[in-house]
Amino acid sequence: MRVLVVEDYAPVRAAVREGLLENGFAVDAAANGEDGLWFAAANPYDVVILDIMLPKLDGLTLLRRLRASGSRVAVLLLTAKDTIEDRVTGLDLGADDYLVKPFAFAELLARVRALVRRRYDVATSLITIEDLEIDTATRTVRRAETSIPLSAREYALLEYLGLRAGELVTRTDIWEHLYDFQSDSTSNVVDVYIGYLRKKLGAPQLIHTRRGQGYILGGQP
Amino acid sequence: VTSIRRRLLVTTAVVTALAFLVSGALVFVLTEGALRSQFDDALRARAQALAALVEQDQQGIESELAVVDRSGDPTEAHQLWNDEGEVLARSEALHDRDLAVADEISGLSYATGFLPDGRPSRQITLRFVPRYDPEDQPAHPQAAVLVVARTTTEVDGIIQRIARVLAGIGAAGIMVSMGLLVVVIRYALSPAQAVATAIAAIGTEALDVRLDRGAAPTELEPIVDRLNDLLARLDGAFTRERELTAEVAHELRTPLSGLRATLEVTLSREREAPRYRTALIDCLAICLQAERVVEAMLALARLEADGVTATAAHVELPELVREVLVPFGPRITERQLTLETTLDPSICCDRDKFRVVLQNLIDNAISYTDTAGTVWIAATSSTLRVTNTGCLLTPAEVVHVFERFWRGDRARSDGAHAGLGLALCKKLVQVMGGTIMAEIDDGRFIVTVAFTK
Repeated sequence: MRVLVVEDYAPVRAAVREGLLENGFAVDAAANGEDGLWFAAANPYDVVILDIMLPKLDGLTLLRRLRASGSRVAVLLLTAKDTIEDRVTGLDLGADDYLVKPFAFAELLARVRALVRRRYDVATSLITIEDLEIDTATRTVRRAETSIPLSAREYALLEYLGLRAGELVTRTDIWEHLYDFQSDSTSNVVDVYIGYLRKKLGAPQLIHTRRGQGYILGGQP
Repeated sequence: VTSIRRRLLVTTAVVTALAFLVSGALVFVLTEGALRSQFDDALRARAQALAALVEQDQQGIESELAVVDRSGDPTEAHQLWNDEGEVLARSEALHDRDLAVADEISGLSYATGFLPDGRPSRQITLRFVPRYDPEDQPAHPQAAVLVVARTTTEVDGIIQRIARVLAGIGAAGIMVSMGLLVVVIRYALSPAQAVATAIAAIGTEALDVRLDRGAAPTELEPIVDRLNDLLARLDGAFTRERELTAEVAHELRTPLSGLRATLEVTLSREREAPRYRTALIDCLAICLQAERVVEAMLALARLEADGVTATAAHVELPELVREVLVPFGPRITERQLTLETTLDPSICCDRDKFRVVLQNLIDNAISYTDTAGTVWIAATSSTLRVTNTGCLLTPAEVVHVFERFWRGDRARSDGAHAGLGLALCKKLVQVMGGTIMAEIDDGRFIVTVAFTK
């Protein structure tokens, strides 16, 4: 899942970025509102973590412009202001969630995961496709009651396919949701990781290829 | 003790009671007088009627008093004497005892005494010459003395009854008027009570309410006005306090959130030693930043407390500026800044406070000048001007630079500036009795401090 962090205070920005990366998210970070808006408009993020007090363009204006441009990305506001008025303003402008500084990183992570689930219309943290179980909270995968160890990249790819199970997922979708600007990826990296996943998941085959279009997890081949 | 209600009640009660007493006494005295004089008139009429029954001829004085002697009537007695003091007639009721005769016997006189049986009485002494037939005229007409006494038991009883009735009416009147007074005074003071209730309802969380001036009686308007003034001042103070608390909370939450996020993410898994070291260095930097915020806030709070005074003295300018610049040396070199100073020999102000102002202004100038920019420090005997190039603020933003916690975009993001330096400068300059202003001129940020005198 790809997340944008817009936060001007460097220590928070760096820690959140690092923590999210370590938890399998692709993360881009912006230090001011203008950059943040540009990033958010240019890439299909799953979640935007947005500070309210930002230089150049404040978070609420950024949010208003983002919504005005038709973006429906999930937005989690992050701020040191915690009056009811602040919360109401933020939520009314189209934010999906609100977290007051200082926050517990585990909570931020849980809220981001919840926003991702809501975005893909999944009710719980456990995704089941036939005999495959993906637990997005513990980031573990089991097939036929057997645990399957995956690398962070492999897990992220499988989780994305799982969230969109039964749908056609294009290479561009995968590319846009799993890789941030700092990922050094070559054009066939997606195919390479699909190959790794297929091998680890074993038979019968769950990931089906639609030649020239993309992949489908589960469902009819 | 100073209850208006009690004071009013006591005063009016005393006045009312006195009024009742005086008017009661007056009514009593007048009624009693009238009754007594009526009694005396009746007594005289009776005495004259009795005297008419006494006549004389040549044989002497004769009376028919025995005929009219109502021996059964215990309320009245009479006795008749001739000139020589010889008793001519006497009521049987007297049983041979004498009635007292008034000493001064000329015409008629009244006296109060007792009947022989001990009952209180009123008596009249009448000295007269009994009538005679002109044809049977005595040689020497004699005078006679008639005393008629009548018990006053009945009239005394009436008077006592009137006294009791008057006392009763008075007591009841006082009681009723006291009751009425309590009600009236409560009614009259109810606006004061309403004001008191309105004041009692004001808590520290709702100081924006004001007492309704129109609802208060004219006498209480000045009090209501002063109370509203006080409320406005309290409201202002509380609002400023709340704003400050919110600002402080916000300012401290930012470094706290940095600390917490850094520490939590670092601790979320096992790491190599250098990675912990980096995290600790980051955390230390955040702590130092928070410390600066707290120190600056405390300095500002101390200045805002009353009683801070400035002591003016001649301050050697070149020496002070040189001293203050020492710690900034490395940063000036690193940022390749040009520093130009134009200084008079001395300035007249409080040395310690001026030093802090100078430090803060130079710190700001060095921090916000563009790389390889220029900082000017110019001072005369009564002014200080610090200028730096590369100012990114707009004129609209410059208005805010002296506000507590205000920061330009550039200052906000670096975390090193609390937004209190210029607020502190302004307060210090005010304490020293000077003025401070900021302006932008062609990308240059200029702060001017001026001391009058």
